[in-house]
Amino acid sequence: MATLEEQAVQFAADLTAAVHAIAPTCEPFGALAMDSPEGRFYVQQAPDTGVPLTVEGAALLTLKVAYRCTWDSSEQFLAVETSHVKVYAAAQARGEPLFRYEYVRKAGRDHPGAHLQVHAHRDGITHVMSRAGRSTPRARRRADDAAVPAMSELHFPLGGARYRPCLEDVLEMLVCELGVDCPDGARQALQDSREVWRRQQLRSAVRDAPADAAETLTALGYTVTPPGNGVPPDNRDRLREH
Amino acid sequence: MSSTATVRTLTPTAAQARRAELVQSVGGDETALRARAAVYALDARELAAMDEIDALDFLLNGPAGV
Repeated sequence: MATLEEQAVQFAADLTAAVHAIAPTCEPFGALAMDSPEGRFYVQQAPDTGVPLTVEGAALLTLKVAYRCTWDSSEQFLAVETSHVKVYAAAQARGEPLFRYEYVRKAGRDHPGAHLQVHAHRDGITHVMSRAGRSTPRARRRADDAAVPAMSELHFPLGGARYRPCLEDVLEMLVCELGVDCPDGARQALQDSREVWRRQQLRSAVRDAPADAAETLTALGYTVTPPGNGVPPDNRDRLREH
Repeated sequence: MSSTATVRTLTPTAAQARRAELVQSVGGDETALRARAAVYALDARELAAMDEIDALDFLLNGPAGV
């Protein structure tokens, strides 16, 4: 079993490889770990002011990426507690991002664990947000706040822990939609890396609903034998989370 | 440039010291820094320091500390 430090290095290396697909000269990600039994570490991009991204050679955007990790409940694999991928409109990250993809493993009921926040303005959204009533904690907070509601306060859900987008999704979007420069083969590299992520998430999703996985495999012609000590229970919290 | 990812391990004492150093590097008033962060008014250096302070809080205290 890999130590937490080894897993942290591997995780940072994987993130570096993904970003290198579109920013091949960027510095490698660094990990900082705490010497404690809980086994916490975080990984972020370098430099700490963000990775500049160019469009037609001009540094137009900056990317900030950070993951905070711990051991999972089995203490064998790392678990991402929170993550963010933020995009800023400048050669260094400062002020307000354009948008941010975030994930909070234990988000509670207030907002979805995996979500997108867009820092933009539209009168129609502001109007609707200002009339959201008081039926939820977020709506009440907004109603009690004198400030005009901002679109960036909205958390657009992104599929929960298992089906959330990966870093590669955001990077490819930046190439496709915003014309970020990338070397030949970048999209292939991102697709390869995305495949690794999705297979990993698929394995986690199977553990959330093993009976469904067995049923699907049986329908495909496999012979599936349940474990002798019974079918493991579903992780219904994960299946139902916002 | 090295392409190798690195990991640095801190003791709690070293993390606290680094945290204090970061706060000092951006003026010494963490409350004011957080107030400006809440309205997205930080420059690049301040934002980098704020991010690292939050990350150190996570290392020191876990998710609840952030």
